[in-house]
Amino acid sequence: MSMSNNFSNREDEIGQASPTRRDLLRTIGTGLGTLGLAGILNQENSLAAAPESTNPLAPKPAHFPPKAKYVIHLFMNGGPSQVDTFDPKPMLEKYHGKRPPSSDLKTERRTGGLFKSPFKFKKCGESGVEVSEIFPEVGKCIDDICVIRSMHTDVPNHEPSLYMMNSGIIQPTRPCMGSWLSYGLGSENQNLPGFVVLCPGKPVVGPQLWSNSFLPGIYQGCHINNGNIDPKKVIAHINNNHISRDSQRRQLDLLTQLNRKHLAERVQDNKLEARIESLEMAYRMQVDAQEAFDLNRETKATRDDYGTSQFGNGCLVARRLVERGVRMVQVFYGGGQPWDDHGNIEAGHRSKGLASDKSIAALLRDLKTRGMLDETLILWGGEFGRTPSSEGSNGRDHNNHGFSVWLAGGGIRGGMTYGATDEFGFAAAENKVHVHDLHATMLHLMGIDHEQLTYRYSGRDFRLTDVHGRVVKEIIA
Amino acid sequence: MVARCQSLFALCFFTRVTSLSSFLFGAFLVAVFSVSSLLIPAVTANAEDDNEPPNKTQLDKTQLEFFESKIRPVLVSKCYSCHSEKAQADNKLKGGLLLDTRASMHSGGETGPAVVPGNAKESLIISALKHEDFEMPPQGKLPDAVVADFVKWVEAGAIDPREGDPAIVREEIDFDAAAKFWSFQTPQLSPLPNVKNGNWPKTDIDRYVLSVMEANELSPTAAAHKRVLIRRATFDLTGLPPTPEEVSAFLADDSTQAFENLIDRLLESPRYGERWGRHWLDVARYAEDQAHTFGVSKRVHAYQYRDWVIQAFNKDMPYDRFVKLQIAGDLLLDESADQFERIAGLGFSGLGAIYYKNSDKAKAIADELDDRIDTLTRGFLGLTVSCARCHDHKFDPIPTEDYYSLAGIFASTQMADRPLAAQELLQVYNAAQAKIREHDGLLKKFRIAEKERIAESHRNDVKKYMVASWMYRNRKKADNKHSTTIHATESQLEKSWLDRWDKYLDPKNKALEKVVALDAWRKLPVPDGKNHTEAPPAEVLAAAEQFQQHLNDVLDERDGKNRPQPQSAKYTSPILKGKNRVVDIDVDIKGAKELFLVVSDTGDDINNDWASWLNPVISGPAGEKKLNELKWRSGTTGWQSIQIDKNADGQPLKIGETKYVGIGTHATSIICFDLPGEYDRFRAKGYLDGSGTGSIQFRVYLAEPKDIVVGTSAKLVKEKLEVIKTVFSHSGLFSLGDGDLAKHLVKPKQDELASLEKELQSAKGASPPAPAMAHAIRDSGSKDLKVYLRGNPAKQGDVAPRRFLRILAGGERATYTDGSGRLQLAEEIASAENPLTARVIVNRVWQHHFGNGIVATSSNFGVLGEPPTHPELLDWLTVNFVKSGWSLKWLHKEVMRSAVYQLSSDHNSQNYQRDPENRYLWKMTRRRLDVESWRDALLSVSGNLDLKIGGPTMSLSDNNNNRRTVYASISRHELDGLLRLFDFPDANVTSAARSETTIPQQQLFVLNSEFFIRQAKSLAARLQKVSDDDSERIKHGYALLFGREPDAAELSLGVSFVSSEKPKDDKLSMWEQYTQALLGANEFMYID
Repeated sequence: MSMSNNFSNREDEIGQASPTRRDLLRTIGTGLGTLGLAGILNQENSLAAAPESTNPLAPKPAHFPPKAKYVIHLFMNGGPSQVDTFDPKPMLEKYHGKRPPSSDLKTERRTGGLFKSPFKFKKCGESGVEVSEIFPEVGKCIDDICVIRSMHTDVPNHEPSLYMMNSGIIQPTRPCMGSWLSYGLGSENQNLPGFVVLCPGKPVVGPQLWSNSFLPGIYQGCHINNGNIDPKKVIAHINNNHISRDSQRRQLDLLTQLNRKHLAERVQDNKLEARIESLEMAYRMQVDAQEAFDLNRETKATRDDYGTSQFGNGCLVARRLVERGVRMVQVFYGGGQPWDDHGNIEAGHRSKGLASDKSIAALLRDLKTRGMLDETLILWGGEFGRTPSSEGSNGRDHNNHGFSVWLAGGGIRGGMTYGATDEFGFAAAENKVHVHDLHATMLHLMGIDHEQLTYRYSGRDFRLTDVHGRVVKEIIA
Repeated sequence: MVARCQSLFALCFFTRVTSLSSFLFGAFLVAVFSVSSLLIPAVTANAEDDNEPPNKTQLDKTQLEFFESKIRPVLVSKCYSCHSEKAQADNKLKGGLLLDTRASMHSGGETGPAVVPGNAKESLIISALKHEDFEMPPQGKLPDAVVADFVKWVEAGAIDPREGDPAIVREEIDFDAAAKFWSFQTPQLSPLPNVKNGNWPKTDIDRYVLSVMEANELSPTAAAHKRVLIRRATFDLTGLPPTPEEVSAFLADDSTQAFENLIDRLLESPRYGERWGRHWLDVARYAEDQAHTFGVSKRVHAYQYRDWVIQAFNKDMPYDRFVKLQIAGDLLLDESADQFERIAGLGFSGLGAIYYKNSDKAKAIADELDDRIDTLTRGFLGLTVSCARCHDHKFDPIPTEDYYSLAGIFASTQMADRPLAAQELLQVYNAAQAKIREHDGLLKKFRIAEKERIAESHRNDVKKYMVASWMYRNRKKADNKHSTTIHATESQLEKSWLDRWDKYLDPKNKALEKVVALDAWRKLPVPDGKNHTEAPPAEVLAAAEQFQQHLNDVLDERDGKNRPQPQSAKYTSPILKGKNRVVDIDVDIKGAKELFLVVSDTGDDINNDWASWLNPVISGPAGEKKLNELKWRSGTTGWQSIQIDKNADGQPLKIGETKYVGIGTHATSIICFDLPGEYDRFRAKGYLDGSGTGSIQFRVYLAEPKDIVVGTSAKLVKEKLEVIKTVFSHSGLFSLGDGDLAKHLVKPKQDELASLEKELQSAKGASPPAPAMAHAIRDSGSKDLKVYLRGNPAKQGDVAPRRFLRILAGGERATYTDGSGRLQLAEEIASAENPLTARVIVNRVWQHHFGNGIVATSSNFGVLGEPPTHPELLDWLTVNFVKSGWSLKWLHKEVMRSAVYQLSSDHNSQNYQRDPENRYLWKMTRRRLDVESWRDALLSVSGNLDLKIGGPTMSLSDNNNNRRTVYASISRHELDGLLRLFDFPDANVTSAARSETTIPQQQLFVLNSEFFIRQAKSLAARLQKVSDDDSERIKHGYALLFGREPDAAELSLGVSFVSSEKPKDDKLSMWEQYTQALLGANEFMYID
């Protein structure tokens, strides 16, 4: 395989060749490739696996120079309404209460007449992209944001759509995108999990949303409950409650001596050596991971910027993790399906919009200030959108036919919209972007050809994008 | 070296098909593979049609011009990049479709002809351009005008001057050629190979292995030490370490039979089934729930299947029977088997995936069928039949039709919870249960009726209890020791009723706010403890009286007392909904003083019940008057307000383009007019207005309509019912517990109750205990499926008769007509004639003994699987395995008594250079214990292992769970953290082998987890009991954990560690810290 590692080239391009603070926070461990970490003994290794490294989480070369190195997915689970957030539809004012034939698309429930947005939209930034009043601060960042208004997915139900957004298929049988990214690119910090999911409690469907499925277990998402971030508890067994760190060091020295002796009697066994190293990593991880999740290390100003809500904390942890080289962080807006406003969209969306607005904007600004936005791809969106017609008197039903997501940083052209829904915002109409296309685009930005990132399993090569996916080149800077 | 398949990954699809199958899979364009010879061209009808190309000169010139100007440029610029011979040459062809010649356009791609001249509807290119099924081009829909050009062109005969043969023709599988593939050949005994090193082989297996080694210039490493051997064999067969006593006994046994005796002993242990059953459970994707959330409950009987598998291994059930019972145990005519044996094994399918069916049900069902087929074919046959769900298998000789032949069998089968008891026992049980239900029902009915009767008999005690509860609160304020018990006794009240009334009337009770009749009560001052000895204040009495009166009124109303006379409308229209939106109304109103125009909702509770009275007119001797010009006395409407000459939405009154005058409103609505003079008739058009999806009725009354409720009064009715339920229902404020009922009854009723209770008790006593249940399957039909074109259940092709795979059963296959066909399927899979079934299980057994199968891809014996490293050996094992009566225990012993199994894991650099992966078995591959063996071993050496066999599962996170890991709860929805951490497979799909990853989080479990520390503490305590001497204790620890003595260095390391001083704050003793390190050692985790 003749892939070359282009990360360093990219660093040159953006003028960050010298070691940064972030480089110091990451533990790349130069010798990892030779550590001989046992790796994967799966019978059907992928053709794409980098043969020279046996550490499955070691950084791997991309297919081509990447625009982004990390992903933060701000997941608005439950499905925010496009016509109340990023896809203004003045026609809804005019046709409020009517039900034109074009709205007879199948959604989960029968809906009533068209229902105008209770929110005002405002042209924001120099680009003048319109943003709903429930996102005033995000609106100020709009020139870094590309809104895709023509998203669509297959099914108007949460479960299949959650699977589609997270793993590219409507059944719970495939690896999620974070697992694919870790598998394809490894991680830049060996003392932290390569893929972290922040969700207070559980979303509907649950842990299958961050499942490695048939990929090796090392690529599974590490779920952190950000409802209460206690650095001592965020990762299972991260803290020893029984002996001091010094005692543990002595104990580990003893264990290492035993293991070294055992190894010395057994020539040429990488797996044994790998476990010895892994024990040392675990020892270090206790400190590093606790440090990474310790928000008290942030200044008061930063904490104030992000806010101290669960979601705000999640955004801040996401930045700290990305700063340390974690490949992908997902921040779920909340447990369950918070954006699922079947009733009273005005109160529900207003409160969630305003509650998250500040944190999202703080994250974007913070990344930008630190020079990290260029290499960090932010994705905001839910698993589907909502109907422009009403459910009950003032809610909206699920809608897979059209919805909005936005991307920022990581090689995205800011201050633009892409695609469009029909006049009422019901279905994607122009430049349609399926979830598969979104996945293909994200992988592309990370330097991966979505058709080449495959894993041989059950006699076939599997992909995140199955047999679909088109890179939406138009939104790439 | 074994050559890996080199295949180019490419897309097989034209584009996305909406709601296409989940298992769609990209085709592999065959570049270098020999299998391409399996595919031969078939002549298609369309190709023949095109044999006579139209003469160019005969073509209509204008049509040619149309093609050249409107069609060809679009094809070139928008289509050729994926659908042309050039695209084909560049491996970019999509969907097997060429659009650069007329002929290939007519013959089409994988979904059918792109163009059918004269028929735009049948032409796939048109539906693709219109984005109906396919969405072409993928970058976005072309302008409507361009699409219209294509329609016009096709309808006009699709004149197309482009010559050339159809370059792509449908490929059909050449089964004769395919049958030559090694795994489809019947296993044959080949002559035992000659070997140079004739002294080494112990058994025939060794001769096969050695000959391959010698051919590859490899030589076997030394034999393993007996200590290593017993540890290896014991973990292999039982998943547990040998005890120090077992090790000593084996070392002391110098006989030549020593190792075989050891194997026999281990195979007889019930631990054997627990170990090897688990290997099979990986294949069967065993779990106790579903991955998704909605409407799924844990499958509580799942363990029956797990126990069935374990028992089958322990009793060495012949493998062919093991297969048959899992597919069709219920259909086997087998007198000897009990119900557990026949039914519980059906959990193989019965515990399969169930998907969410709320939206696309057909698709979800198709996905479930795929789960059954995938698990069945990979599990038993080592064939990836699921690849053929959307198109013929690209490498193996499995046409899509074969997939749907199998799918039909499972479509005729349903999930079913089935009892594991004999039929007769079951009938007795069911009859007894019916009896219990009957008596239980009678008793419940009696209790409810009596409780409600008693409650309502206290309708005039409402006031008393309300006042008492107020008085109680007031006194409680002054005297904290006061209680409802005291209060009830003093006031001679039922204590439980007082409690309930007190709780109900608590000002914090939000429910009160909705009860209008309690308005006065809610306004009472909060009891402040003053004057609590005096009589209740007058306003309390009055408020209570008011509520009591209200309840009495409501009860009377319910019972038909004082009910307003039912009154019918003078006119009632038919229900207007859907297309039926207009009605002409003409009513005789002679003599009436009032006119009530009513629109009622029909109860379907849908919005958009927009109603308009168009041209409403009264006429008579006084002349004619338009009601829209008249002022009404009162008007109510369910939404917005009543409008003149506008509909409910404020738009002009119109039907189509015709404008009307009139009144717009929305159900439910009442408009009342005082009739100003002598009018005889009322006429109007009733219209269900706008884009409304509702349904309504128009009514006209000449007196106030009392049977119609508008707005808030609707709530009132519900509220009334709610209140009497709260107070008087069998669980209301005046309700009695079952135990208290008798004493409130008069004698004959008391007797009646007693006898009802007695009958229920005796019915319960007469029932045998509930039979155990299993999640199984049963036949639900006997129907073939049609092929789902490209896996899409909405597009069906030819019928695929239920029958077995052609490559295994031949062209003259029998079709299955008996029930689902599972029995015949089971017979064909478990047949000794089947070249795969025995081979596949023999290979799985080999894999678990050596770490790798002879075929490394143990669930894929197809072209894309690995070829066998020792094909003759695999055949020798297979033939003899079948000869042994499909005995797995025979197979284990035969494998383990070979010299190759007994090799050491010593390194040899010469061999390593040639075969670093040890595919040719020159040594034993060192292996990490899987999570089950490791956890079980930790519990075992610490003295904590609970060896209870079988039964319901227990969560691993339960601190008291010291059972073997095979008995742990297994979840698809949320796999246990420990299992997840240590490479346990995702139980959503069948698993052929565990991956093995080494990550720091695993080591955190060793360093810090409570489980690990518990075992360390137990082990320390166990060792301390052995002796007072640290050296002796350490020696015993080494014997327990590693089956050997420590050497001097290890001993002194240990002694110095345990005798060092414990830091003051450490909660673990030095011994506990030491045992934790021992348990965490590589030597404990890896088997040489």
